[in-house]
Amino acid sequence: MHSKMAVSTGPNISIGPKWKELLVGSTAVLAMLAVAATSVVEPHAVFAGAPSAAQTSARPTGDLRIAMAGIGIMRPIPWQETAFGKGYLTLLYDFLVGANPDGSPSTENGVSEKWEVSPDGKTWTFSLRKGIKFHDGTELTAQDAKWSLEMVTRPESVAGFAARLRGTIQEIEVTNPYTLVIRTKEPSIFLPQDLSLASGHEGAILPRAYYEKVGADGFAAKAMGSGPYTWAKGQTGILIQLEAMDRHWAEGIPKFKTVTYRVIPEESTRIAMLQTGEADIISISRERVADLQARNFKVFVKERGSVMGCYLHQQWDQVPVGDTRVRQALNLAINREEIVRFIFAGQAKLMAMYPLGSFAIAAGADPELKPYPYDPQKARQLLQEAGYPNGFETTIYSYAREDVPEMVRLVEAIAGYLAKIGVKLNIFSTEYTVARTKRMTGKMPGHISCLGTPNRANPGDILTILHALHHSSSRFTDHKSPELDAMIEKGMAATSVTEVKKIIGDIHRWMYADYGTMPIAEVSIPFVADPKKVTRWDLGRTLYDNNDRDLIRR
Amino acid sequence: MQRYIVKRFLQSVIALLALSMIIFVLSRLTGDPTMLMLPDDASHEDILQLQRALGLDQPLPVQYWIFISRAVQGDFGRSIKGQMPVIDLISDRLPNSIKLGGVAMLITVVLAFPLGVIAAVKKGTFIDSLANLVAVLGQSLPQFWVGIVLIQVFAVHLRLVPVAGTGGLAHYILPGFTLGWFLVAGIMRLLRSSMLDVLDSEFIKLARIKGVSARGVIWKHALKNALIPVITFGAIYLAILITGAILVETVFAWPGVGQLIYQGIVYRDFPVVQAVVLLTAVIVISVNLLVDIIYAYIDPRIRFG
Repeated sequence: MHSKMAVSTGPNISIGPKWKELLVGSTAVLAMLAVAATSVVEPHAVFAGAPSAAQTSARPTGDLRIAMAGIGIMRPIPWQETAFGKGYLTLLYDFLVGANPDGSPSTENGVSEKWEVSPDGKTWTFSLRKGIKFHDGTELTAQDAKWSLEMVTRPESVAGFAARLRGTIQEIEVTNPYTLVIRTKEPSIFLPQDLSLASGHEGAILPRAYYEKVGADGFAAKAMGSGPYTWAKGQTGILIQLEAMDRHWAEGIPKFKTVTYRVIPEESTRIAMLQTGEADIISISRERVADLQARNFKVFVKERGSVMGCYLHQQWDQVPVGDTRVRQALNLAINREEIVRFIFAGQAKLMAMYPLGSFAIAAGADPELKPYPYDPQKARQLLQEAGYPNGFETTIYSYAREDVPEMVRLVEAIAGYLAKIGVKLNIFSTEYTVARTKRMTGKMPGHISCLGTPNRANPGDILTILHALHHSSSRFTDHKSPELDAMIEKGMAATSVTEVKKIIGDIHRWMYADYGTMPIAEVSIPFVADPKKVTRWDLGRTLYDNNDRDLIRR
Repeated sequence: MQRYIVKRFLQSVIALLALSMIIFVLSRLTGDPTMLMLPDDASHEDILQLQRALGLDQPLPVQYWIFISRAVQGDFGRSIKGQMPVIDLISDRLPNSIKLGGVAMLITVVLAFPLGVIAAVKKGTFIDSLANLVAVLGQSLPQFWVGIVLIQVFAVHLRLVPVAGTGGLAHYILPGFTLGWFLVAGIMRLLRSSMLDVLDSEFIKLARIKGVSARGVIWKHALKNALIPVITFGAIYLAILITGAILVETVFAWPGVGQLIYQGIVYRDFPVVQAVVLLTAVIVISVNLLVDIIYAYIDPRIRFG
């Protein structure tokens, strides 16, 4: 794989005594030096030769090259990485609890071979497998698990569920090298799920001794875990390359010798890389799927992987959307079928309520609820009843999002639909950062903004997102409803799965009747691959990753 | 002369200090990175704690003093997003940008010099018009679009060069050309007008009378004298190319400083934005200073003026 190219030294530049010539010479020499300095081709560069297709059963071979629009922070330390970096972390680390592709906890591929909870639901005991080794050969123990959990739940942790876990966990105790006891402040029936491969990346276990020896920067430069792959190299914002271990205790012999994740922000560049063989898998916008499928590339889809919805902000202020009839009118004014067809290129399904999508039915959401109909006439009537016969004016935010490349067109479409019932939306084109800051600081009275979030199947995850988006105490909330708050709190304190499911069903129905958000659609998350390199891939239903471990299985 | 250099140096330092203050304040006006970093369900306490950890809870003058006093020692702090020393991030990216900028400048020189000279010598002819067309296209076509078209033609269809990223010599061709073509226009037009002035001067007429060949007059005598403004322009633009090639670096996934500052701006990564802007300013101001000193050295009217 390593090769060198001939160095072109270029013509000799004669540098004269005069300053003009000196400057000309300097510029040219700089350019020559630049060219000469590039003589060594990096491993896995495009012309270094494609990896051999011939795989032996004995050892991993070839390089799997994945080009994505973005990959989190690319800092391989779970407490310094966002949820969007979870994919590569699942190859690097083992998690306290494993997961099945459907998102349920598994005793098969996690560090814990079993777990049990005390009768009061507040003490969880995890039994760890013996003999799991970190990549340097030291054994993974409960001490490493305890330390990793403590680190990932520190206040400065940027991990997605750090705040929730910090609020849940009271203390962590190691009773012997293979037994970890976690005591929670309140009954927490979904703790194993929260620390599993299926949720965020908070359950990843790192080697404490190595981390403390090399420090955070040293660890980031040469990360080490016990997963099927170890860290080969990384450049923040550019690439991550992982190298296969000979054998992993759960995954066996990895399929590929290396897995390289590259950040390629521009979609046409990613497509070109797939066409020329510089990438094996690329993330793609939904509108390009049909085109690439027609060109015989293999399309893998995380069906209904994300739910799209629009928030009606600060409903507690004196704003039109504070009135249920207005919210209902806005919901009835949108032709979702058209949006699915023309904005999401058919790669989406209608949904009844946001953020509870079809995955949430497994967690108790009501399957009988139907998507709001398209009825602009009734919408106009409702506005009249609410005292807005001539409509009203408000702001909708438009920003680019890697996960929703259709956002700008979606916002324009919504503005068009609402204009038909007299509601004038002023499109505020900005960056997501600006909109998010406004939202978190309460500067969006009656405004509208749209977002996508993972479709969740786990009751614990569902309650977490409901709390973040709709509980009065959350900085992100659009509601301030004591009734809804009480239901969310009751769900979080429940001591049985049956009870939680019932509460989620109640919340689902309550929100549906409240018209508090504008559900748009459940959208699929597509990837396109070289069919010669990637023949199968179950993207699963886990949160924030695409079941990357399935890619490296034989 | 010495006094002139000291004066210009002090002016440069003042300009840098003023710029550091402006970029420090402006970068903070656009939003708080802690709002982006922490999860949705983070509490107000969590945000305050992170702000304390990042030093963002300090009054702005204190933050500025910490920043500038460390910056003069080469310490630009830690990236808020990357959570590593900014200097490491820059030293990782800067060589790539210098190499790409150098190649782009080389391509520019190779194209712009002959075009500029020929356009001046053949003023008003078809060749002049053609050279102008090349120049106008280079400046008017969006670099983003040019890059994508070049990828489609030369990488995807002809398979002559790679699509993106770094590696061997071939990786420089498309981004270098895309970046260079934009500059060709400016340099070619500057060279053309400068050449026209020089070709009309007395010493060129004298050279012709003395029997110097047409080629010698144009390429040796006229070109040398016409290069002064071109080199000044090119040198300053090279500095901007190195740190400001955001679009080209995005299209070609080139791991340079342009992408770094773009990511820094989007993520409100103040230390990265401050460091890259200051670095750009240092390069531009240094080149300006150098050019001014050289001018003063060769032209006494400047240093005594």
